[in-house]
Amino acid sequence: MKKIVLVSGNRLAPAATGGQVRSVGIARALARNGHCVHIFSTAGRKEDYQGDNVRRGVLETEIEPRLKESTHLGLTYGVLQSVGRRLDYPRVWQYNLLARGWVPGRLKQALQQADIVLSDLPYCPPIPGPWRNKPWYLISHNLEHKLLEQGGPRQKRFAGWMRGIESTATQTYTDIFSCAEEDQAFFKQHDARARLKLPLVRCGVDPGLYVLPPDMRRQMRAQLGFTEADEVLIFSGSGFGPNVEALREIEEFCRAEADFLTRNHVFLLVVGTVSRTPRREGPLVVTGPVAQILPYFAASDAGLNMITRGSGSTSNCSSIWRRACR
Amino acid sequence: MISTDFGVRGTQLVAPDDYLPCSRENLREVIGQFIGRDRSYRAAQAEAVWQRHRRSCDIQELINAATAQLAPFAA
Repeated sequence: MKKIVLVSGNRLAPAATGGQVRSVGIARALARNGHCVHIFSTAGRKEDYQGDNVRRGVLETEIEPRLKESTHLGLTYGVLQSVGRRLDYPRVWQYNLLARGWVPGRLKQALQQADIVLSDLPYCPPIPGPWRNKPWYLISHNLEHKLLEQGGPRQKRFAGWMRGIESTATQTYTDIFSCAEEDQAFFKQHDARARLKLPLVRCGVDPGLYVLPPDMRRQMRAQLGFTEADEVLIFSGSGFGPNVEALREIEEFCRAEADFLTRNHVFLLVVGTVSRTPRREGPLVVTGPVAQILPYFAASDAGLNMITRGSGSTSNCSSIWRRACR
Repeated sequence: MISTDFGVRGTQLVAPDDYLPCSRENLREVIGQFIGRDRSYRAAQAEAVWQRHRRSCDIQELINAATAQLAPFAA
């Protein structure tokens, strides 16, 4: 049994994005293999910064046996995160703080005790200190520089910087958990001495989490105003640019094909932070952010994924999830 | 699932057996094709997709295979 610290830039559990589903899934799988896994997140979510949490400076969460998350709620990280998001800057500030060792004392303690360290995304580089020689792995979720190349002007500006970081990751880390053939091939290309194994850990899920009460489908459909005869296609996603573009495609399609969809009792259900505002326009039903996404999968008949750009992999394999939700 | 080819990137799903490929140009036709199949057929198809791809979708299986290659994770 090993003590594993997973360093993340923001709180991972409960998972609210595809990337978080994968990171928490990896942590959970390691814990279920008998390891003690400590997720240490250097910043929280907006709702974490209130009352006692801020006074304590940390949010501690026991996720399941041998798996816990500590979310640091210090103001430096919190303010920089907030400003960075508003200005649409990538987490360059976070990279620089960690790379210089300007990290919370609790994280240093955790690193001191760890046998193995995992970095969630290249924005969490190895932290200098006596723990630096421990096995240190990168969890790659895609090629970040490819995402930055596709972003706005402030994102594009850092694409070259991130490409440099990802190009040298093969020398920085003990090894890298790739998410798809695309990033695996990139890292292989930059591993001149073929030192790394570059194991592929796709965007899998824990199928056990998708077994829902038998009545959930009926209840959710009733709550959403769908009859059993209706055909419900679900699209879920975060506010990530390509997801928002896919939502626009769906909106346009619903407007253009409203008669066809209505005649055939087809509804397009859009769930998650891809849209902040709930609304209902004919065959289009948008929930906005939800506490739990699984009941919406249970209510649907198929997944719909209109994404046409991005990088890496996808966790939006709704048809497979649906199997477990039946 | 109904998806663009890009939407299933990084998975091992193959059209048309594992998903119905769509684009903005043919989405209406693909939805028509989907609703033209009865639910029991679709459920059987989803089950078959799951059986074919379970190993590449279950994060526990993926992590077990990955860490088996990495000595520091050995007990």
